[in-house]
Amino acid sequence: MAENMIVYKCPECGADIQFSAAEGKMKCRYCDGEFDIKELEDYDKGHFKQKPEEFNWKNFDERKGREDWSADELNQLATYRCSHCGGEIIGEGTTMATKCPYCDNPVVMGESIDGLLRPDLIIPFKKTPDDVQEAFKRFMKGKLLLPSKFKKRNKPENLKGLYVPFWLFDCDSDGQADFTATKVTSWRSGDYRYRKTDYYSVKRAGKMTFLDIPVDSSTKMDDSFMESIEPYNYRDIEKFNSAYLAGYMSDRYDVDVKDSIERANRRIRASTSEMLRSTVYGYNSVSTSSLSVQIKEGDIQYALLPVWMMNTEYKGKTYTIAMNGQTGKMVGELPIDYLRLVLYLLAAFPIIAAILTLLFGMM
Amino acid sequence: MIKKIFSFIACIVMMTAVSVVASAASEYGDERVVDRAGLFTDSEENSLREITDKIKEEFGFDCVMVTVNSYYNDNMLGAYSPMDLSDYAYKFYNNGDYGYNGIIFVVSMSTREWWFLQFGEGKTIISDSYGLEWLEYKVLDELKDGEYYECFDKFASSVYDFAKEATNNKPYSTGNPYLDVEAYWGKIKGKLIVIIIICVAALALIAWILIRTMKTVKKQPDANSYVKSGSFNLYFRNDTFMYSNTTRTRVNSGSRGGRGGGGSRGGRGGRF
Repeated sequence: MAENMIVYKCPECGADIQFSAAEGKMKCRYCDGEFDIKELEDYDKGHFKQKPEEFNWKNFDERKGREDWSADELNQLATYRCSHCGGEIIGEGTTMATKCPYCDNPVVMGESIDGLLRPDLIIPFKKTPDDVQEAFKRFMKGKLLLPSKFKKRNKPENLKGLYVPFWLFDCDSDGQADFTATKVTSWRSGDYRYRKTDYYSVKRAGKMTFLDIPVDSSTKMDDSFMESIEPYNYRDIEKFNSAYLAGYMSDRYDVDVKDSIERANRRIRASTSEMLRSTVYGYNSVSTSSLSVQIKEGDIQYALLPVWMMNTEYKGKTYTIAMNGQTGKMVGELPIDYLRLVLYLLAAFPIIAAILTLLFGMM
Repeated sequence: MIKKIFSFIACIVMMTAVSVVASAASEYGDERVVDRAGLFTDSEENSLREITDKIKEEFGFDCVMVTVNSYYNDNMLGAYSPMDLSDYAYKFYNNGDYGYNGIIFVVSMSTREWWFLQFGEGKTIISDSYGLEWLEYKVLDELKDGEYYECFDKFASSVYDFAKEATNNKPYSTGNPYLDVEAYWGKIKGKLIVIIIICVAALALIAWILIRTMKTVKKQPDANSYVKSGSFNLYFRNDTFMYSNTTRTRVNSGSRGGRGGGGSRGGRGGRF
């Protein structure tokens, strides 16, 4: 008598999965994933249900194995506070005088670094001040609305190399999404045009791993600036050593992990949604009906990442430009010459009008 | 003797009949400017005739212009009731002593209709889709404003231009456009608002692009750069057809007569 043979696939890794008599469950011998038979049958039949959304990060404060500052580090490093803007930075204790990297006002030595969280990781500076100069010149090229007087500057002012504190988030995410998709066909028959729309219910579920999603942990650093100079290349990441701080300053973190988690969650959710959406094809339109993402036991580390900061003044306003101290990516807001913009538009108007008039006249 | 008399009388009758028919057919002859509605002065009519004669001389092409008060009761064609103005134009040209190649422009004042109709090579020299549209843009404003001489003068001048261009074996068309500023204005003035809107939209887009190049700071919406390579595992996919919805819309199969329409004999025309 012929028997039906059903092969189930592991939802974790996709390998063939077998029944484990010892555990009374289906077990994957490749990834050790365990599942009830009913759960696998549901997956197989398409009776798929989204799991409740959950973002479960390890409690950062209770992580064991954190390193404390060494005695040498406690002697070498000190905090500095700016009385003007309240910014707090960490630098070498032998520094007699320095200026705040944010507002350029003098800073005064503050407390000892003892009691502050010691970073886990650091990416050392790779770009030099000369690299910054060159990058600044390239950055100004092609900016048609840049005022001429601003362009003539060839040297960024108040250049500062700063290590910015970041929380780095690692996790495995699991996402389930429901989509509504359509396929449209149209044809003409006699005096009528027909349009048929087929509606589909589309379900997707997938897992992926995220490594070192950075969220800056300083209120002084604009999040948009820091995200704009991403990504960093983590191949260069090193275990923290205070020797890397020599000649540079480090911003002190003042945004707790729990206040940064929401930003990380949003980015993870967006990426999971995009990845699942990219597997839906062959339709004229696709819209997301619902999405649920779960993270379990995500890991968080504290890292210092290099940034060159510079400020330029123009017509009484300060313009800040930041450069990734490792990759050289430069971002910033530049002044706009609105008179120049108006002139460009006035010059473009007759050309566009003439082209359109010619095209419409030829139709 | 009686037979001879009867034969003679029959000949006279036949000759009279033929001459009547002949005279009825040749009442226009090859007259290319027929102003039955009395829209032109003598000098205007002569001026128009000069152009049409020139077109005939240089290109062997008949450019016929006719104005009537009413084409319904026009006894010029005998006992005949035209279906519409295009039919009248067709019969008028065919009853005249015109060549195989030509074009006729008829205006009926009581019904305020106008019609162009081409014959023979006229359909190539002044095509339905391109040439007739240009002629319409060229003359219709003057016709509507009651400037009849200017209207027909422009018609004849344009036909001259088209006929001249066709001698190069490349008549005016989309691939070889007829560049006439006045006619262009006639074509585009109805679309001026659209042109202005597109212009403004294009300028706004240019301004947006230029300003955006000055602002390079933006938040990252996702974490795609931090997905571990090869880690994505799609472990479930299911596409289920739910239902279908079909709509239908009636499509017009084309207008009969009226502005831009084909009429019963083809060509192009409308009301003014």
